[in-house]
Amino acid sequence: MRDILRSEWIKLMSIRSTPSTLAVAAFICLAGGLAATASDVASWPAMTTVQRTAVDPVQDSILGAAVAQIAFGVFGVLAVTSEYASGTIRTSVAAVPERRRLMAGKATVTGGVALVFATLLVAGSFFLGQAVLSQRSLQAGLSTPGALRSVLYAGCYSAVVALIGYGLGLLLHHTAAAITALVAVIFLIPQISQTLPGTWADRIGEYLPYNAARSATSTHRVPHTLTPTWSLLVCAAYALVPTLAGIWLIERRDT
Amino acid sequence: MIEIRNLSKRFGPVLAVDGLTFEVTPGRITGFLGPNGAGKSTTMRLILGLDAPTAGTAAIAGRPYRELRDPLREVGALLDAGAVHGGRTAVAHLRWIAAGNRISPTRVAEVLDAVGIATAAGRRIRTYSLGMRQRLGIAAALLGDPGVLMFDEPVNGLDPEGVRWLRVLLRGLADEGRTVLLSSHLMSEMAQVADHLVIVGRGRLLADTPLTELLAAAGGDVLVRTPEPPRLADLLTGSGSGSGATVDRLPDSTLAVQGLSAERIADLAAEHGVRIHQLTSRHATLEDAYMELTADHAEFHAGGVATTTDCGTERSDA
Repeated sequence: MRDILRSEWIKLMSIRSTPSTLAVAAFICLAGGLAATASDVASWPAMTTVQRTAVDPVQDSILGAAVAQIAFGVFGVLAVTSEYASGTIRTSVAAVPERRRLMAGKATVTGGVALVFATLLVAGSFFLGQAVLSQRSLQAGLSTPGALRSVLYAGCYSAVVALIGYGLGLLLHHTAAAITALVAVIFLIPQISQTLPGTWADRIGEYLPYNAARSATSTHRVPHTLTPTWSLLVCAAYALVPTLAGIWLIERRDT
Repeated sequence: MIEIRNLSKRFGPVLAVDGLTFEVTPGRITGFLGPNGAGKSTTMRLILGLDAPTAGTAAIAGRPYRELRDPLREVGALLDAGAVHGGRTAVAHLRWIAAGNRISPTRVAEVLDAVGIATAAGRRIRTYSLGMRQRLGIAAALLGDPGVLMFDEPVNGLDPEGVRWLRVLLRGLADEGRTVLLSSHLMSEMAQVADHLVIVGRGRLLADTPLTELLAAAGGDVLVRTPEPPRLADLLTGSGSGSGATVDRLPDSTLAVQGLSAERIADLAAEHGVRIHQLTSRHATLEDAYMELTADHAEFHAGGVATTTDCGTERSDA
């Protein structure tokens, strides 16, 4: 397995889409956190007391991660669809005929790179945001209740979205189809579910990745969501289902 | 050694490979010939375990490809030189392949040097010509120093110098005792490089024979220039010769004789005092032999589809 991991690492690091998608993720994440915290600082004097208590220094500093997740998803999609688009999948399968090990190795490297990069990025975003907020002494620290968990779970969640992208790529093979499905799962289905009648919107909403992510990355309990840890596990299931289906199919389809 | 046993592959209604059985043995270059759509590439994909056979087996040294540990150390293949990620450098492309099969990174530099693209190794593959991509594909096949090598149309895009280089390379690999399977549409190229031929048509085996035997079986003729063409023609076709040879009159007092060797013609002429000015044996080319063998099997030859449809209509009328 170590040989496969090394091979997949070289593969992932030698295509341009890796640095470009990660750079986009970094830009969105840092810019989002900066904008939100700068806005807090700027509007603070004019805020009412109620508005002031609603300011969440932890959540605002890592707000960009909620948008940057899509870049991590695209990163995961491209890690596998780039092989199908170029035809190198056949070389990969010839080199490692056990497709399950090949794809498990690729998932490990893709998810691992996303996890490390996203965690560092969210942590960087957190500290940058706190530096901005310190102008009005609004800053939190990692010891603030829920802060460390929010930062770590936001990193984990980004890696999970990368793996959702990976699984969809493995299932659909085509970059455009997989990215469309990714956007649908992350952003569109939560929107549509809001139109469901009665309590259904909330009951189903708990299990949708968008709301689960809000729960996982908040310092306080968000209404109508699962606990942060359960939310993260639900998100992991979203990654696992298409990945397992894709691996099941690649054993049966001709390459 | 590659062993194919009753191998079949069906794609929907099309039987691309239909009960193929043959062996590719070490120490010689085996040419894999057949019209477009004959099933050559599919057979190679089945050998590599990329496609699953509908029936039958393909084995490398007695084992199916999927059971090989570090398969690239046993089998090297170039199926499609275009199946590379254009954004990678050649060196990165070979390094990831090497890493997965525990092949030393120093081997990457060796094969890049061996195929003559070492100076372009750091360039993105997108900037490569088709010939350079073929060389890179050959480098990838050689990476694991395998005992079995398969090349699908490796000559495509190579310049004349490259074609000659490849010929020497393939001969060297076979002389080292490796098993070499080579497909090509270029008959003259195949005639120069192959020792043995496996010819397929519509997924079926048409011939599995040494090149020399195929050419001999396809026959040839003998050109005879004589100042007395009618007399010699009578002599060769007459009951006296006992040969049943056929003779065509060509211009310039020349006869084209089929069914008699040059030696026999000379002997007969001498016995009967017929003068001969020139005697030339002509061998059938591989192209002649191949066309004869595959005439009924070409999937896409001109007008073929319409003819088949007509036959079908006639048959239903009858």
